[in-house]
Amino acid sequence: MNFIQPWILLALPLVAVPIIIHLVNQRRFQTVPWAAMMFLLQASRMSSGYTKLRQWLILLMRALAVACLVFFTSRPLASGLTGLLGSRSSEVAIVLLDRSPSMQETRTGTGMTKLQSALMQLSSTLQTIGVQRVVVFDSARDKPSEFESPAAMVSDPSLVANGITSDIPGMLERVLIYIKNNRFGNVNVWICSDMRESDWRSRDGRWAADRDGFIGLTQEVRFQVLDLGAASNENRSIRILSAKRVQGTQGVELSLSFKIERTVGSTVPIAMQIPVEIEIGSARSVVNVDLQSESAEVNDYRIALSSENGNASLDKGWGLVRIPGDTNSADNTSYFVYEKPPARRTVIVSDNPRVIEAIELCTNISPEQAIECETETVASSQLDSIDWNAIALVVWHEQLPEGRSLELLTQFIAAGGQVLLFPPETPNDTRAMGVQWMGWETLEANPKSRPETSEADATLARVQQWRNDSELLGNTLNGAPLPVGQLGIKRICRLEAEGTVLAAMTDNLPLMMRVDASGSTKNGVYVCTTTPSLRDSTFAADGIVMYIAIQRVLANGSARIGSTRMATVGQPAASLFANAMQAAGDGNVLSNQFSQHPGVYQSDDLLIAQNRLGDEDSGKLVASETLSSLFGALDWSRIEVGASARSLVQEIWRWFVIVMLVAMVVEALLCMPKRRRSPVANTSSHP
Amino acid sequence: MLPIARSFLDPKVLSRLAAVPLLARHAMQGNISGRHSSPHRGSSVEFAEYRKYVPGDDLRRLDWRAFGRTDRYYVKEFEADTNLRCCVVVDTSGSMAYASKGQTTKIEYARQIAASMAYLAAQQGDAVGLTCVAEKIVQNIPPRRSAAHLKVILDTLENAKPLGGTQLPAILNELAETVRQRALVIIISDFFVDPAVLKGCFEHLRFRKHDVALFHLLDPLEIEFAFQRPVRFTDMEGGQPLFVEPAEIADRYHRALTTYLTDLQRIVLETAVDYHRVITSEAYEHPMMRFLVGRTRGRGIR
Repeated sequence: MNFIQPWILLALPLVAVPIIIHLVNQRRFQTVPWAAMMFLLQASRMSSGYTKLRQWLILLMRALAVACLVFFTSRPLASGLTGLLGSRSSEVAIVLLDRSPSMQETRTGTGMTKLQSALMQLSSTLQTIGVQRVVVFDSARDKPSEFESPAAMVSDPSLVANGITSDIPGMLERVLIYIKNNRFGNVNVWICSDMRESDWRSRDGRWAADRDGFIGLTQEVRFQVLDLGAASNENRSIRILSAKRVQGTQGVELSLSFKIERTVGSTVPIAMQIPVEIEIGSARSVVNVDLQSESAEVNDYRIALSSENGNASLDKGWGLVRIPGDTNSADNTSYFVYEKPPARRTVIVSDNPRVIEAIELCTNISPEQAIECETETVASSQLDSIDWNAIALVVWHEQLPEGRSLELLTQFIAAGGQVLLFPPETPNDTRAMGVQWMGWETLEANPKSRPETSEADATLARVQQWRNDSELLGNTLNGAPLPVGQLGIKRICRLEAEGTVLAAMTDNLPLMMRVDASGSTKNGVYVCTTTPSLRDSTFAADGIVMYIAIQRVLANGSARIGSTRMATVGQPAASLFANAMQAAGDGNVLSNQFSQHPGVYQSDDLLIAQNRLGDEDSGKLVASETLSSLFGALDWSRIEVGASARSLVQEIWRWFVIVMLVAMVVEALLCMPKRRRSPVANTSSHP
Repeated sequence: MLPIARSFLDPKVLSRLAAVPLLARHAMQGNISGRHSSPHRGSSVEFAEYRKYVPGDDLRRLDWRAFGRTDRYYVKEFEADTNLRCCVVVDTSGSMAYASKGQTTKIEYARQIAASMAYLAAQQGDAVGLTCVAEKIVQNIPPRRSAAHLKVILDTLENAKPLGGTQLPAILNELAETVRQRALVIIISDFFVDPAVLKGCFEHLRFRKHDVALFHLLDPLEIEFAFQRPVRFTDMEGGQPLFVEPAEIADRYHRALTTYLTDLQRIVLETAVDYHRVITSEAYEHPMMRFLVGRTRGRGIR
C-alpha cells in the first residue's frame, strides 16, 4: 500500500491519544468519602470479565478510528507496487513509451493492444496520484510530446504503435538531457515496454553513460518500469529476407526468401502448416509452409513475373507476404519491392591509375550475371561533369579533396554514396572528411609470422586483427572468414582519423577503417592505408579480400542508385516521404507518419518498402538480472502490468472511512449505558 | 415559636403532620389512658363484648337490660385505650454523615424524622425515648411522658455526631431485651448491614411484641452511582479505601444494591416490619405522612 500524501502518516502517533487520555483520566481520580462501601466491596468481588473486555474494546475502537482517520487523510493507494512514489510525488511525469510493433500484440481478454492497455493504465494511475503534466518520449520523434493532462495521452493519435523498434538507452539519453535542461525537482520516469531485448539493447554501451548521467544528477530520479508481460504464446511472424528480380528459365522471375518465426516459449503444437499469402501487384498466390520448429525459412522461392498475372511492370514492382492473423497483427505482413538491378558504377579519381589497377579490375567484374558493373577513371578537375546520382562508389587515390571537389564528395556521401580513400604517393597536410595522411612507413615482418609462409613472404608484415563482423571484412554467408590474415603489407601510410578500425597491423596502425566524419555511424567513407600495388601490399596478389570488400562497398552504394528501396522502418530520411503515396500498408496511418510505419510507399519514381527490424520477431525478453544490471545503483522498480484496463493504483480511502465509521458506531454501542430496571429508584413502603 | 424550637423541626410540617394521629399497629401496654388500643378491657366508649358475671365484679358494670331479656347476669365490657411507649433508635455511625452534592446528610434527615416523631408522640401524651447507636449505644434516653423530657431528646438529637462503625444488629437485639413492655420501636438508619443478620434482629423485636418501624435512608447518589472519572472511595466508617473505575464497576454495584434491597424487602414482609425506604432528596414530611397514614388503616387490630 502506498500513499499520495505520506507525510500525513507522521500523525500516526495520534493513535495513542485515546490511550493517553485513558491513562491521564486514571491519574485524575477524585477522592470521595462513601457510605455504601458494602456494595462496592461486593461489586469488586464479582467477576469483571466482560466489563474489562468492553473497556479494552472501547479503547481499541477509539484508536482504530483515529488510525483510520490518519490513513484516510493520507490518501492510500492499493497496488502491488513497492515504493511507488515514496515521498516524491511530482506534478510532472516523464514517460518513455515503447511504440514498437511488438506492443501491438492484443492482450488476452481485453481486445486492447499492449500499448493501448499501457496508456490507459498509466493515464489512470497518473491522474490518481495527481500528476498534472506528462512528457512523453518515444523513438519516432527527437522531441518529447507534452500533455497538459494524463487523459490527453490516451486519445492522442501521435502515440499509436508504429513500426520503429524502440531505442530505450537512446530515449534515456534524451530524458537525461531534458531533465538537466528543465531543472525539475524530483522526477518519476515511467518506462512502458514489453521488455523486448530488441528495444532495450542491453549490450549497448550507452547504458553505462546513462547510468552515470542519472546518478550525477542533483535531482532524485526514480524509474518505474511497467512490464507489459511476455509475448503471447500464439504469435507468429513473417519477414522478407530478400526479393530479387532474376532471369529464370521461364523468363523473368521473382526470387523471394522469407522467414516465419514463432514466439519463443510457444505452447502451440510444434508441427503445423502455415498458409503464406504472396501478393505481387494485384496477383495473389498462397504457399503452404511447414513450421516444424521455432522457425521456418523459405529461400529462393520463384514466382514467374509476367504482365498476364496482373503486374504493372516486369522491371519494377512491389508486393507483400502475409500469414493468417494472430495475436499481433503488426508482424503478420512483410513488404518488398523489386526492380531490374541497376548498373554498379564506380568512379576512380587517381593521379597514378596504374597503382590501383587492381581496384579497377575488382569494380569491373560483376558478381552476378544480371548486374552490370562499370568503372570510369577521371581526374579531380572533371568531377563536375559526373552524374553523381548514377554512381555507387568513388575510389579516391590522390591528395585529399579540397574546395569544390570536397563539396561534391560531401554531398555524394550525404546522399548515401560510398567513398574509398587510398593514400597518394606523397601525401600533403590536407585534411578532408575527417582524414589526414601523415606519411608512409615501411613495415617489418611480424615476429609471429606464420612458419608455413615462404621465405619471401616471411619478410612481409601481416594483418594482426580485423573485425569479422564488419560490413567489409565480415565472414561470408556460410560463416567462413575472409583470408585477411594472409595479406602481406610492405608499406603503410599513417593517418589521423576518427572512426572504426576494420583491420589493423598493430593497435595504433590501422589498415582499413570506416571514418565517422559526420558523426554518423552509417557513414560511407572507408580508408585503406596502403595501395594494392605490389610495392605496397599483396592486396592484388591475394585479390579475394579486396574483391569482396570492393563489391560489398559497391553493393552498399548501389542501393541508392535504383528506384526501389527495401529498408527498416525509421532508416530512410523522413524527407523521402514528403510527397509519398501509400501503395500498401495500414490505411489508417497519417501521411506525415509514413516514415514510421511498415508498408510500400511511392515517392515520384522511388518505391520504398519498409519493414520492422528483424529482431522484433525473436521475442527475446530482457532477463530480470540483466534489467537489474542495466539500472545498477539507480532507484528503480519493476511493475508487472495486468491485462485489465484498470489503473495500476486505486485509492482506497473509502474503506478507511467505512472502517472508521464502523469503529465509531461500535464504540458508541459499547459506551451506551445499559437500561436498568432498578427497584431502588423509588421510595418504598411496607407498612 | 415553639419553646423547643430547633433547626431540624419545622412548625409548619409539624402542624400538617399533627392532623394525623400516631397510632400503633398493635395493642400497647401503657400506664395511663391514651389513644392507643390496649390488650386489656377498659372504659372507653367502644363496645368490646359481653362476659358472664362472676362474683367480685363491679355491680355497676352489670347490664340490667340483658338480665331483663335473658334472666342471666352479664357484664358489658369496653375497649381500653392506653398510652404508647415510643422508642426512636437513630443510627449515628459514620456512614450517616454522607450526603451527595446538594442533598441533606442522612444524620440530618434522621434528626428531622426522629424529632418530629418525638414531638408528635409527646403531643398526644405518649412516652418517647431516644437511643443513638453506632458501635455501641451512644445515648439511651428511656421513654417518658413529660414535656421536659422532649427537650432532652431534642438536645440529644442536636448533639448527636455521626462517628465510627456500626453494630446495629447487636444493639437492636440488646434493645429488644431492654425495652420493657410493648413499644413502638422506630429505627432510622441506612441499614448497611447484611439483610440476613437484620432479619434475626427484627424477629427478636417482634417476638418481644414491639411494633417495629424502619426508616431506611438512602442518598440519591448511592442509588444512581453516577460517577464519571475514576474515584478513590474512602470508607466513612473507617474501612480500607477502594480505587475503582466507575464505568467498570457500576453494573456490578447496581447488581449488588438490587440484590440487597430485594432481600431487605422480602425480610420486612416476612417479619411484618413497617418499612419505609426514604431517598434523602425527598422532603422528610412525605415519608412521615406515609408512615402516619399507613398506621391509621390498621386501627382496631389488637
